[in-house]
Amino acid sequence: MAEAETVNDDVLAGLIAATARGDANAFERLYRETSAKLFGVCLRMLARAEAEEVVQDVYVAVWRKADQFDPDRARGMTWLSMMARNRAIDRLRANRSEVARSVIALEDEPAAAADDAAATMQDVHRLDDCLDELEAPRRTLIRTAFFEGATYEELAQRSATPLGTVKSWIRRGLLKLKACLER
Amino acid sequence: MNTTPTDLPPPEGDPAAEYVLGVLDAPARREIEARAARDAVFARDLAVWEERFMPLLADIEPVAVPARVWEHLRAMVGGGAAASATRGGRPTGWWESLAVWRAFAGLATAAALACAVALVVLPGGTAPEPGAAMVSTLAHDDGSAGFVALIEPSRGQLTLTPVAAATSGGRVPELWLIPKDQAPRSLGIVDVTHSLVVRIPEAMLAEVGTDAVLAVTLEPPGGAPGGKPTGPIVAKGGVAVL
Repeated sequence: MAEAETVNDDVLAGLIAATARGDANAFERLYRETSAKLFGVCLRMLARAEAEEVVQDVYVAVWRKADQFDPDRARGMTWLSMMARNRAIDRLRANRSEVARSVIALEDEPAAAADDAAATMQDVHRLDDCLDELEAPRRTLIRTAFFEGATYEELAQRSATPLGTVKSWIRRGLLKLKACLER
Repeated sequence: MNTTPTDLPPPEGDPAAEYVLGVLDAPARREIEARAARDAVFARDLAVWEERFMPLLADIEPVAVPARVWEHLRAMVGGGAAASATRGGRPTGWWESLAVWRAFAGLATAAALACAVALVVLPGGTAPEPGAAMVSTLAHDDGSAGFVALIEPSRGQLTLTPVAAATSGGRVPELWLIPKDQAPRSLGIVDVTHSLVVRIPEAMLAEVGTDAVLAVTLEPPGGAPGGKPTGPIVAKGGVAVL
C-alpha cells in the first residue's frame, strides 16, 4: 500500500523546513519517507536507470532549494511529487530515441481502480468520481497523459485518433473535471 | 456525446491544467515556467491544478530506491566538499555561532561605516576582489542590528543570521538585494530565529558588491506577490568587504 501517504503534511512541512536550515538528519528522514513514492512516479515514465537519476536530482534540488517550499501554497508531498513528475517529463521530452509505447485502447479501458479500504482520503474518491463522470475516451486519455507524461501528439498517435480530437477531448475533459471538483 | 474520431477544432486550453497534466512539449513547458516565475496568480493556478491531480498518485505503488542513490546524496550533505561545512545540522563554522555574530554585529557596523567613509574619501579604491567575502549588518531604523549577513560569492551563498528580529501579523521576512540604481531582487524568505544559508542565483552574483544594499521586508505568507516588495522594511544595510 501507499506507505508514503501515512506521513502527515505537517511532519513533511517540518522536515522540509528543517532541511532548508541545513539539517541533514531531517533531510535523511524526508528522503526515507518520500523517495519510494517519487521513484514509483518516475518509473511510470522512465526506464529504471533514468528514474533513479531523476530521483537523485530531485533530492539534490530539495537540499538546495528547500527554502522555496511554501507550506501555505502546497502540501509537502505535492511539492515533491510534482517536482519529480516535472523532471521526469522533461527527461522524457529530451529523449528522442524513446522506446515505442503501448497502443492506447480507447474503447475497452480498464475499470476505475476498485475502492481501496485503506485509501480513506476523501479527495481520492472525489477525483475518481469526477473522472468517472467523463466519457471513457477522455478519462483514458487524461489518465494516460498524467501517468505517462505523454504529449497530445503522442496520445493521438497511440490511440489512432486525430490530433484535434485528442486536444478537444482532453481540454473539454479538463474543463469538466475542474467544474466537478469545484462543485 | 460525440466520440467518433472526426477532427474537431479543439477549444482553448487551460495552460496551467495542460502543464500539470503533462501534455505540453518542451518549449511550451518552458513558457509556462517562465510565466509562473513572473506571474504569482498564474503560479497559484498551477499549484491548484497540482493539488487537484495529486490524488491520482495514490494509485502509484512506492518502489524502494537502490541504496546507491542515498549514498550519493549523503556524500553531498555530509561532507567532502568544503562548501558543505555549514550544512549537516551541526554548527561547524564560526559564522554559525550566534554569540560570535552578536559580538561581531557591532564591529561590522563600525567596519561598514569605516568602509562607507573610505568609499567617499577614496572613490573607486575599494572595489572587492572578485570572490572576496563581504558582510552586511542589516539595521533597524533605530540603528540597532537586526540581521548580519556573510556573503561568500565564491560559494554562491549568503549566510543570514538574525540578531534581533521579529515578525508580526502572520507576515514573513523576505530578503532583498538592491543593486545600485536597480529594483530589489528577492533572495527568498528568511528566518528570524535561525541562521540560514541562502543561495545567490548565478545571475545575481555580479550584482553583489559594496554598492548594493540588503534589506528585509515583511511580506504576506508565501512571499511578496509578483516578486516586488510590498511590506515595510524592517532592517537594511550596506555591504562591506570583510
